[in-house]
Amino acid sequence: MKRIYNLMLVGAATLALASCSDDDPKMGNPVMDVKTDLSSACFGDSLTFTINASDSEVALSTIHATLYYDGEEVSETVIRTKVSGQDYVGKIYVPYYANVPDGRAQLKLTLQNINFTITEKEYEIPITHPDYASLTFIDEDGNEYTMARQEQYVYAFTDKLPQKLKGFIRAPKYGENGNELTWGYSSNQITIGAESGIPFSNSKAGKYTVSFNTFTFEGSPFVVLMINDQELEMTSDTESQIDLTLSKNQSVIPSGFPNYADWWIDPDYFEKQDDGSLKFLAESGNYRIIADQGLQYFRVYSISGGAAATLADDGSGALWVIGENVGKPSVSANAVGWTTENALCMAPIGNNCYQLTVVGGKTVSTDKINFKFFGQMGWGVELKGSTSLTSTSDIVLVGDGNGHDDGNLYLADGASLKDNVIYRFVVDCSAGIDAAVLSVYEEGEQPFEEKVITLNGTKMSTADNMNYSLAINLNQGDALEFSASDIDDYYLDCDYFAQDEDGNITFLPVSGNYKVTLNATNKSVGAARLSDSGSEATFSDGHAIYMVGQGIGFPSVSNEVGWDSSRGYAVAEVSPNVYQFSGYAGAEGSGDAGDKIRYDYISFKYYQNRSWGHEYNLKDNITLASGTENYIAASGNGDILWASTSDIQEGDFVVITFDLSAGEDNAVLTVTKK
Amino acid sequence: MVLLCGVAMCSCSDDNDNNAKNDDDNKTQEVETGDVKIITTTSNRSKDLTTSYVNFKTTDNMSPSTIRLQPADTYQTMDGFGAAITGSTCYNLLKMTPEARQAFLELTFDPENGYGFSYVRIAIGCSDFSLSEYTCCDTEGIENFALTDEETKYVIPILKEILAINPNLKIMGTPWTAPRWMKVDNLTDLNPYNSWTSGSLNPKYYEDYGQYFVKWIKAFAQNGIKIYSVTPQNEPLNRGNSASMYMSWEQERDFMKNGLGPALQAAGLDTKVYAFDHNYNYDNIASEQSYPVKIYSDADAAQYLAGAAYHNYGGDKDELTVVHNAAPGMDLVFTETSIGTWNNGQDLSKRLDDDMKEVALGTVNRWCKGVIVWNLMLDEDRGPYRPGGCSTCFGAVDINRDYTKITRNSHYYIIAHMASVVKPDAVRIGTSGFTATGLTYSAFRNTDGSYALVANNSSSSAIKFTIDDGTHHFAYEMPASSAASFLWK
Repeated sequence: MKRIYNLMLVGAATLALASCSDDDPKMGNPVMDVKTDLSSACFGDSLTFTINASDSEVALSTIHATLYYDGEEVSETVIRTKVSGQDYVGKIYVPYYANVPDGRAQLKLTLQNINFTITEKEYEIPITHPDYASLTFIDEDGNEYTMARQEQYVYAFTDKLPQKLKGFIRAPKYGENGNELTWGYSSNQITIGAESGIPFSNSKAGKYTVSFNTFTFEGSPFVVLMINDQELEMTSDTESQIDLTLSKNQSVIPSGFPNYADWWIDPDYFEKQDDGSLKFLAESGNYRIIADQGLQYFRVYSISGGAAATLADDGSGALWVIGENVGKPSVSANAVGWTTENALCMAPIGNNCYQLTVVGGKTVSTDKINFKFFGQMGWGVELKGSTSLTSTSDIVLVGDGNGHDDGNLYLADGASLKDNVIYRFVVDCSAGIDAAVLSVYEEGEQPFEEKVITLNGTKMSTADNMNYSLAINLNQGDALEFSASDIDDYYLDCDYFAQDEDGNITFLPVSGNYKVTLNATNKSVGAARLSDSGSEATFSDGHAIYMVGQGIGFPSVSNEVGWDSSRGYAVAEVSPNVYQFSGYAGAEGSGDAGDKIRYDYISFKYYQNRSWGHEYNLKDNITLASGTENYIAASGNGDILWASTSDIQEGDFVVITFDLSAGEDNAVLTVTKK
Repeated sequence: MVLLCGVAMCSCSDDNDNNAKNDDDNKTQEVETGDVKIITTTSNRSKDLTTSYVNFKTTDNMSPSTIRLQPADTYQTMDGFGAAITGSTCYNLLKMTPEARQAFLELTFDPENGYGFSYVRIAIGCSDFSLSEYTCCDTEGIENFALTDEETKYVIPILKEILAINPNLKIMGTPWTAPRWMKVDNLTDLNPYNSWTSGSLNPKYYEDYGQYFVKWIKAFAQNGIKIYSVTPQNEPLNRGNSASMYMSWEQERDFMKNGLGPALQAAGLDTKVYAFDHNYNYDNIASEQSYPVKIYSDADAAQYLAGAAYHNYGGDKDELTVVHNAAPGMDLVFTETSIGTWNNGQDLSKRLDDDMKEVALGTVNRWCKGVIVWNLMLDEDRGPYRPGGCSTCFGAVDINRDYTKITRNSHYYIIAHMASVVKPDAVRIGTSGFTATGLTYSAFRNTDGSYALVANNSSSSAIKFTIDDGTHHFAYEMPASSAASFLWK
């Protein structure tokens, strides 16, 4: 309810009592006639008002409009009033803050003449939140998503989205005085008026819901990063950190980290275990772990008293590496350089010795090095070749002003480090920091670091982190779960797997032994039948049927099977003795996953094994189902071709069924277009 | 021309309106008495633990500068706040006239009419602020244990006077050294070490030294003084001072499980034991990092421990969070900090903000259940102190040479600001909402249902904010460089 208070004040109390005298300077008589119904407003409005301002005696100066929330001034506007008797139009912004409930704000209008005589009117105006029908989320690429109203204040949309989704939220103008509003990200929180992207993140890519509350300005999802059940504090868009007391060999269990399987694990501090946990390798003590989601690694450094640890005179504390040609997780991605904040903390390994493990060509350059050891994450104490540091290495030497800066490490003339070889730099400070000794140990080639992917909890085997496979007994309708966090980005062979909107994967063919294959390069998942003994199945020992020929391929025709029987495509047995091959019709060479068949040309046959032998062709032993002759014709030797009457177009979804249910000698081929 | 814009003049206005009002509902207005008690101290002493009141506001709380209490979000339960009642403090207090001493102690410790200091620390034997070097068993043989004149003529009489004012006072005891006959030069050679400073506790006396604590606790109990807690060793990594004893974490662990812990248990004492009692940075000794956490990892020792105690003469208070996260089930208490000549200790304009942020609020916001500063009272010559001890320390209050005039220093103010509104067994609760550069605060719910909030504004400008407990709200404009305590129900 609107309440109005009028008050006239003058500028000079000493003149007040005499102000009615014609002999005295005129105080004037400012009068406001507010012509706008100021009965309500919404947060985010620009409240427009019209005031007729007049003073019959003294020239006018200004109208001040001031808005208060619970007595606290939140907005002000000033209008110059040069002419008496005129209407003046002004706007005052009604600020929109998080967690401020609907309520009565106070609007004070003050008209002042040039002699400082004022008249005031106060209004109590109910302010409410805009009740939008929807909001719009705009991602970094400009894609717009409609956030539908779920309940008062709550808006959301659900879609298939990347694991990280950055964007801002836009609200339309609301009501007569409304403004278009945005919520972006500033100072690590969702902030009105900002358009910098809000870094939403989900545990994995795929279908999920993004929501936002217009009262609290809280949004979701943001992945909760935990280590040993303790939540990390987010310090930037990409970094979160936690301080922990860690014991040597204790288990460190990260959780909530997207793509954790792909994270680089610092060998100085951690050893990854089969269950994904990390074994802490450095000496027991206090450490800060910074989870860098951009570079996907855990930066670790010693802390003491809540701050980065320093090196004491007796050699205890922490030793830091600053300089060129070294960096974790790689020199190319994150070279330390001479920026002290990037300093690498060497892992304490006991007896005041410190270790830095690097791999040639990856975390250290092979042709040149130029870094040195410091007593803190900054300038100050440093180990110098002239006074405090010697090297036992013939390859890695310490400069002492001999053409190399004092304390800077360099490679001996003609020497280089080897690609993919592990080097362990150990600085022994046990005799104090004035008698430090550097030793460099060559530890052999960096072994293959397997990135583990599991299927239904069982590790898939791989030799190259690109091609994974698992022999597994599956029943028709089984649920499948791959640990790859980006599995939603993969193409799943539609004859073997179905994925619903929530990302749940179901196995489609008949029950049996199968080899499930995951290709991380072309991001596809396929399958093939195995015999009971686990070998590649033939028709006789595992009901296997293969397609060999041209115009077909998986996951797309760019990977054509061709007339190489060893590359035969294993056709899914979708019901007993019924085999199905389906996919979109694509152009020659199409690389779009799912374009499994060319629309313009095919030439293939069916086989009972992945080699030449018992084949099915249109000349000898395949019958076309009724209607299929419109699509299929035979070559002279019985190859299966598109008929000249075929109307298959690029983009059509084609289903080819090879039916042996009437016996292996009574094959019936059916082609349908969907 | 003097402009007094606040003077109303309606007599000539055609707009003269009966609705004109002096509407103060929306302003921060202090009143004689009211819903919210506020104690304020500015670093320029224009407000000197000054009490004022404001009333709850009846308007809609739309203030964007609102600190919202979250009573359902609970942290540690508070034990209390106070200072060390050292031998020197007792000596100085006893030099005052009984009337003046009573007035000072009532102002300091009375929970109703004073500032309600609620937790004090005393030495088991001597400290660097006692009147001599001694223990309660300086003749070899634990059967020779006895309280000395320093207890019976100084510490105990003063504690009795304080307990008469605040019977719920909690008292922590801490030894600076074991009896010298129990000390050896090191734990390898085990040579006798007849020195008040440094040396180590001879492992063969773990049981006897445990009994020493028990006898001391019981002796105080016989004087009507309950000892609430002890620490095994003051500053165990400090070999200097006027009296000290080095105790690595391994030895404190062994002493806990083979000496002190079993002795207390066998005696049926529920005295809490806090490990460590030294600096955040473990004096930069690599092997002593995470001192108490290492002890906790030994279940046989940890079973006797309530938690750990810290001082702030090295390192950063964030270590408290690290230790809490490493052992969430163990308590933390802050047991010593001093002002002195080295940190402008008598200049409130330089100390109030820092001590509020670093000590009072900084430790409580990092899980400390109690905050105890060093000497409650020293004289204007910073004494009496012991040779080798701190000759540059100031007390929480200083008293002049004829013991008639007391000057309050920052440590008195910060403890008064906490203790006056945060009562024993209060629970620290969460807050959300308004923050500002320089503004630090902590909120609590007392056992009587009242709320307390203590704040520091270290900025050079006043900060206006509203505090909202979900039922009531009120506004306050906090002066620049000040501390403020709020209490309401």
